[in-house]
Amino acid sequence: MTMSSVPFFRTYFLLISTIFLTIPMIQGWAEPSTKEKSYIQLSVRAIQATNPISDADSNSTTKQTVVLDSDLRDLEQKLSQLPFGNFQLLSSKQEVITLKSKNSIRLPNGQSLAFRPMYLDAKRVGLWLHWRDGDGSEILNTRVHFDAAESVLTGTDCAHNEGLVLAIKASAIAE
Amino acid sequence: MVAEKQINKSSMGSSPLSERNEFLLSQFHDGECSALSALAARVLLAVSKDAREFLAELREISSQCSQHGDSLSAESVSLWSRVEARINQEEQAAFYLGTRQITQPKDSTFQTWGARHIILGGVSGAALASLVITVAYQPARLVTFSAPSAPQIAQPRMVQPVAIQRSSSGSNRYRIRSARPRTTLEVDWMRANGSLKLIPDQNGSSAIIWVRRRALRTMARQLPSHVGPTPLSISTATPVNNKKGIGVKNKEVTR
Repeated sequence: MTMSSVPFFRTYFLLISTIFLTIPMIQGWAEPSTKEKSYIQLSVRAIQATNPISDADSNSTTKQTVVLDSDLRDLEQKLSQLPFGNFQLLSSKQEVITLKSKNSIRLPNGQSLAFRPMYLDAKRVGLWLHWRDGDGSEILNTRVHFDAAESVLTGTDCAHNEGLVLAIKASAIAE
Repeated sequence: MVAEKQINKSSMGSSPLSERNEFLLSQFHDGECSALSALAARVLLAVSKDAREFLAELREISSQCSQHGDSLSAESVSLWSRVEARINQEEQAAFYLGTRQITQPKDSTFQTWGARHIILGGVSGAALASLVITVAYQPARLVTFSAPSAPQIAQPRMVQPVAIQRSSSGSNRYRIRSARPRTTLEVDWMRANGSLKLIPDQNGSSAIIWVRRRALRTMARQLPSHVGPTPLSISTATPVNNKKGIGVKNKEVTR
């Protein structure tokens, strides 16, 4: 009785491929040179942006005054790039979460922000963000990498020519 | 013609030898028994007279056969003609059918065939797996996104002048130094309900991701704003009646 070669070749091919593909999956998809932390502290600040600045005003030679809360002092350089004159801190939330776990927080206006930290080391952090509106519609879905000492800003337009800015910062927690 | 002379058992009388003993003596005569059997045969010959007579008959028959064999060899049929005929037959068959080849005895079909395919499948699978791993686990790259409705979009990662400096060790390695700090924000992918706008900061190393929603719905609930000291604790801001109130101005930034 002669055995056909096709089923056996396919079996061995699938077996070897499975072994080589499951090895990196077991190790995880974090960068090998990073030292991961198990717990991270995520800080989310919701900032209301008002008093929009038109393009004409921004191009004018007169200086534009930007007013922001004291708690937003570390973001003044970034917020000054937005076409708004006033920035107010609406809420500040801090969550201690485990790495690679999905979490969600509620924002003041009924919106929600789901996130999942992918990795965090001394220098960089990878974060998946999913920003949803109050009715559940998607505002932003992205995956970003930024410095662990910096805050990543994202915002959207709101009614009455206002805007909502989210300042997200991740920091490691010593175990 | 081999002279046939059977051992007439009747001439010897009733032989008490059993078939087993006769077989033993035959083996002993032919030298085909073991040492133990030979010992048993000698004992039997020493004890039994019939055994000795039987053995003597065997030797006589054997001598007669050998004499006849010599005579037959002279009269034996020559087989050379048959061999020659067979050789001619083989040559004719080789002419029409090809030379007869002696094939080596094959090993186990499974062993040779399986070993070859195991190696081939393993090498192919390893090559494919390494290719998939190399492609799938590339480091994150910055996705440059441009919104057509925003003409003033500046990409956070621009072409920067670089300086190429030769390594101090004298080797052929070169060190590339960028004139501007590296990008701190990297985006794998983005999806939004509207156009996306990347607003770079002053350094150009990071950017603000701004979503310009297509249909800005009339929000039933306005954004709450607070009046009074800015809360520092971890809590959500409580909405106030003054929807358009402006918070405490603690610092002014001149743009």
